[in-house]
Amino acid sequence: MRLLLVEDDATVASGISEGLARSGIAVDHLRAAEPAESALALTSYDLAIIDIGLPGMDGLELIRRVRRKGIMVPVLILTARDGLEDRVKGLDIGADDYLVKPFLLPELQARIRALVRRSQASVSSGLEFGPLGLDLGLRMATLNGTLLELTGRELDVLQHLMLAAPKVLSKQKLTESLGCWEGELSPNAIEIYISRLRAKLADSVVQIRTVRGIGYRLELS
Amino acid sequence: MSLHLPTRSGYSLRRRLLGFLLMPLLALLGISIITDYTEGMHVANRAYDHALFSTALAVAARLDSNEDENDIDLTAQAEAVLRTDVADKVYFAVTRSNGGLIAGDKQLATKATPAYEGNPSYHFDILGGLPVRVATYRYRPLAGWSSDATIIVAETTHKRETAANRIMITTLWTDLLLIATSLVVVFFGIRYAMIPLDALCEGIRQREPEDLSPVNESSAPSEIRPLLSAINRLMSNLRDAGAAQQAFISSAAHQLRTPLAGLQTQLELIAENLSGETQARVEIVKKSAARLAHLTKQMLALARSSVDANPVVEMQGVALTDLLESAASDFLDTALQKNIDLGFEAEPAHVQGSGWMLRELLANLIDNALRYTPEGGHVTVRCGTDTKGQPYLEVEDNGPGIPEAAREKVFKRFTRLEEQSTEGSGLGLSIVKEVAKLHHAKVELRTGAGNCGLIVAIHFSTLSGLQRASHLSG
Repeated sequence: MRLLLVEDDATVASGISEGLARSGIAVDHLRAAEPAESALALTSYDLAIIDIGLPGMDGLELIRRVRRKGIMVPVLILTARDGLEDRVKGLDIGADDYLVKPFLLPELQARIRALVRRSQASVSSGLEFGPLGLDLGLRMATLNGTLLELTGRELDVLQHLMLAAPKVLSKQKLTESLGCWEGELSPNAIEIYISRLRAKLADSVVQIRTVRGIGYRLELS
Repeated sequence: MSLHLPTRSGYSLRRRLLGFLLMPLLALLGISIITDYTEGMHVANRAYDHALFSTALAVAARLDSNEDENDIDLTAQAEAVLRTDVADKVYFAVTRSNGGLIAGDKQLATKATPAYEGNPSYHFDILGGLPVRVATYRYRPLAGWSSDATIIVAETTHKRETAANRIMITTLWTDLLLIATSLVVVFFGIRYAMIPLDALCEGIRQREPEDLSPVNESSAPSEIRPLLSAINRLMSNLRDAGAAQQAFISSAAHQLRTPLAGLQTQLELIAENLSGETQARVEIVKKSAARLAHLTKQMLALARSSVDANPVVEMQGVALTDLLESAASDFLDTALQKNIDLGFEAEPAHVQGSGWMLRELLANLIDNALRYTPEGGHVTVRCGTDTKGQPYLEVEDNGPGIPEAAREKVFKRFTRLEEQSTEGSGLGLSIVKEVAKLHHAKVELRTGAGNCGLIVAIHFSTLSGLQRASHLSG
């Protein structure tokens, strides 16, 4: 995986680069928006991390220009501001997620993984979560390379869990997104699918955690 | 322009006005009593003098019927009639022009006034140790007298004194009544005039401490408008100062964020490669950095969620269940780290409000609950509508709770209860309070289920959004 980091603060940039490099992500670092614009046009990155407060052209303008050129690279905004308007503006002009400074590296890594997973799903119709693989086109799931025997509904539930991770997927959203096909789906039914999925994932590092009263989260143990 | 007003604490406009009025009223009372009394006495004296003169005339009439210059035709009976009076003792004397007594009381003979005093003339005198009023009348009888006879009639001043006392008392009473009435009228008049001031005062008293909006001048009496505009000028200065302070905090916190991010990421990298004592020390430094980061974040959040920073809040429909859902994602890992069972009970509820502020509010409630609940504890986040149909949001923990006496204190900035850990910033509940206030919501602290732990509940009113809107347009 290769990503571009646009950040003018050397300490932050070196921390991110080194931290991501240790988890196997190659990071190209640029200090300003102008060279980043051409870099994004020339190289196909898996992700761009863009700081908003850049000298010269700011991060928001960079994202706007990149999107205008039709470059669909997933963008994670780094910002020292977390006011509503900054968030909304960033997401409106085409950023995919934002992270407010200061942050912890594991959080950054989790966000990056989630963004990349989602963008890969739309590009290659495939999802990955640890040892778990899901092909949306063929509608089949693999665990450690072996095919998982799943019913259609179980596959749907797993797909939503994988798309949501590392966020919690609410039972309500799950019911809504599944129910629209064949009428209402009862919460009990969801619980049955989840327990079946759990049984089938029992021997792996992938687990489904119940968050009392809200829903489920896919985790790697 | 300087006006020196007494600075003593008992200074009152009402008392001052009453005192100011009392002085001239008392002076007027004095003058009025003197003039009324003299005028009354004058009138009374004239009436009594007239009666005295009548007696003198009656005596004179007796001289007419007597041709002897040295005698008077006055029987003992007639004299008794002359001397009869209800209240006073009456004296009389008739003298010749040379002073010789013809009839009557000898001691009165010397009391005649000189002729130039007029005829008849009156004066006060002392007779037998008693004050008397004396009338002197010079008369030439028809019966061929060679010179005038002087008729002197006197009476003690009993009835005059009685009359004087009556006049005095009547005057005094009416004047005192007048003054008392004036003072009462003025007292209530001032109170009535002060009603708009009292209303204004009450309005200002009932304001929230942070409410620095201008006082409405147009409905105030014209006399106090200059005072109000001075107050409003002060308010606006305070507002500006407050806004400048908020702006400073906000920009300072922003400036701190990037170096903090650098510090934290670098520390994380260092910590990975260390072992032993150094690792333990770096972990401590990491914790400090995390606290610093948290505090910075909280200060910013507080600065941003204050009323001053948000003269206009964009209200939108916010589903409380959505807030709970994103909070679940945000706090699950923290809860798992502390082995706390973080649960949710989400019933559909909607409020009019600012999404990010309410998220901030809930985040602070959950953050506090997770901080103060010991390992293995439970934290439950709820939303829904209460029995009155009002939306609420609440977070319950089974931590140490907050003693009832300390509950008011915890909303103050940088307050941390002593016996608890020092991890928190002490700003969490201040942020909660600010956001709740902006949403016209009430914050309630109560003891959790089973008489332990703490529930912090936010009660929204269904009209929250509308109220705010009208508050702003009004």
